[in-house]
Order: sequence, then structure tokens, then C-alpha cells
Amino acid sequence: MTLPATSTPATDAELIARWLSGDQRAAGELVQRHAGPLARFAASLGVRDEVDELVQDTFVRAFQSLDSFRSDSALRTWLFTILKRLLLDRKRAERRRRDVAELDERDAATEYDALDTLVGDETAARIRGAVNGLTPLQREVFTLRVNEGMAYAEIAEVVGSTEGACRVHYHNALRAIKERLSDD
Amino acid sequence: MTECGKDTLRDQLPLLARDALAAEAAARVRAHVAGCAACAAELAVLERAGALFTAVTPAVDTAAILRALPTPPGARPVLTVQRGGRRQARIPQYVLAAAASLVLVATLALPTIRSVFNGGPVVVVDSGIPSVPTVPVDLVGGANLSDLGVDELTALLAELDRFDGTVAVEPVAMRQAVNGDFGGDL
Repeated sequence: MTLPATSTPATDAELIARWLSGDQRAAGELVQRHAGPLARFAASLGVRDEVDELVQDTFVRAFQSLDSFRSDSALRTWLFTILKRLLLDRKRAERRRRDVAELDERDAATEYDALDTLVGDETAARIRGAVNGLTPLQREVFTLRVNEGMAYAEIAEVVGSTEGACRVHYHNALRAIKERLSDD
Repeated sequence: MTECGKDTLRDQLPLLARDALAAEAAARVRAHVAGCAACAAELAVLERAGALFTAVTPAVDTAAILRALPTPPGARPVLTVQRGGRRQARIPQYVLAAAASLVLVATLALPTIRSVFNGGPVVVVDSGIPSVPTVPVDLVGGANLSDLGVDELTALLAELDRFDGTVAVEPVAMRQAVNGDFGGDL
């Protein structure tokens, strides 16, 4: 009796090592694995037309310094962190162009209208309204938890907070959404 | 306090909503959700929110991303890095060119030097370099350099110095001249 052949997908660390030794295909696997989640994160943060460009810039930035990447941190976490920094840089540059002083939470909240494009069903619309009412930090924590199933420690690394604080932000976000849904 | 109150199962709800739990863990969480109204409501919200986020996410052109990526370090020549992080110095191309020219000149000058020491005809190659006054140097009869006086050695060195520049004749013509064949146009 022969056992079916099983192939375990290569880990991120293995793919990075392969790419560093000259295997371009390893980059393809890494991009396929992480592009979708990065795009989802960007979209959930309010990016609309530039998702593609932002995700591409994130990968380019990451691969340019991949040889210095320390694998004690997850590649996924690192990529999300890069994307978030790039996004903040863009927002700051945009604000400078518009001659507006500071990036504050109200600005970020009003920019979060990517979900406006979805008018599918009533529950989705109510969730959209509820998510729009979250603070930016709550929204980041909530989307990373819901979209990617990230652990709080990993989320803390991306958003620059503590694990405990992220847990609180998530539960506050969830409670706010539930209350908003029950009010409607 | 219930199990979900301690967040042990509740923390798994986002993973269950994304269908990212292993079969055994998923079954355990589902069994709990079936009897817990709070977790069931939360799971419904998470599933809806996840679907919402996915729906608004545009497709990403992964081929364009790959085209934009840098070449893997292993696929291109790299400088050797010494221990301690210092790069080995590369020899500049002009230094290599100068060294090659020097070797060529030395090779071409060798027959002339031999000719001098063997008492043969001294070939003066018009290299375009201003000539220096020459003192006849006679090393015929087994004489060696130690037999030469200061003036003679100075003259010999001056003669050799004339070959430090670029040679103005082809190597073949030079060889013919050294061998006594003056048929060519020197």
C-alpha cells in the first residue's frame, strides 16, 4: 500500500532563503501568499484607487532589504508594518500638499469610505456604518484580527501598541459594532 | 465563569470565521458556538465583516509586482564581504590597464636589453619620446654591470627609460629590427 504523496508548502523563511540564493520563483510564491492580505488591509484602511500601487511598493521595499530581514519576526507582520508606514508617509505627503497641518483621527475616519462602494445587503451596510464609526486604531486592530486572524502580539507589532491594548481595542470595536447593529 | 468568558474559545472565533482553524479545533469551537448565544452572535458579525472587507478589496496584479522586484542577490555578482563587514577593495580598471601596458612595454624591451648585454646592435626605436644623450656602453667580452662606471650606468638607465611610454611600432617590426632584419620601415 502506498501512501499519498503530501507536499508541505515552503515556509516564508525557506522561500526567503531560496530567493536570496538566486531563485526568482520563490519571490512569486511569497507575492502570491501575501499580496491578497496586504491588499485587504490597505482597502480596510480606506485606500481605494492606489491599493495595487501600495501593495507593489510594499513588496519592493521589503525585497530591497530582505537580506537584512531577521526571521525572529513573521514576514507577514513585517510586510503589514511596511505597508502601514508607506500609507502614513503618503497621507503626510498628501496633507503637506494640501497645506493641512496634522494627521488626526477625524481626518482618517472621514477618509475611510472604501466600504461605501458596497451596497449589497442591509446587514453589510449596517456593518459598514459601524466600522466607519470606529477610531482608526480600533479599525486597524479589528480588521487585522477579522481579516487575517492575527494574534494580538502580531497586531501589536503592526500597529505599534501593546498586546493588552490591542485586545482591549478589539473588544471595544466589537462591542461598538454590536451596539450599532442593535440600535439600527 | 464560562470557557468563552475566559477567551480561550472566543479568541478562536476570527479564525473560525476565516475558516483558518484545523479541523479538530474548528469542530471544538463550533460545538461551543452552538450552545453559546453570545459567541454565535459574535461569529455572525465576524463572518459578515470579513465578507465585507473581502468584497471591497480590489484584485492585485501580482505579475506587475514581480516585474518591479529587484533581482535576487544570488543571481548577480556580489562583492566578497570580509569578516567584520568590510568590503574588499576592487582594483580600478585604469590601474589594470596601466599594469597591462607596463607588462607589454617590458616584454618588448627585453630583446633590446639582451642585445645591449650581448654586444649586438642597439636598436633605437622612435617612440616619439625625446631622446637622451647616449654614452657608448661596451659590454662585449663577458663584461657585466659591475664593470660599468657611473656615466655608463646612467646612460644605460636613460636608454631603458625611453621605453616607459607607449611603443610606437608594432611588435613584429620590433622583433625584426632586433634580429637584424631591417627590411621593414622603421
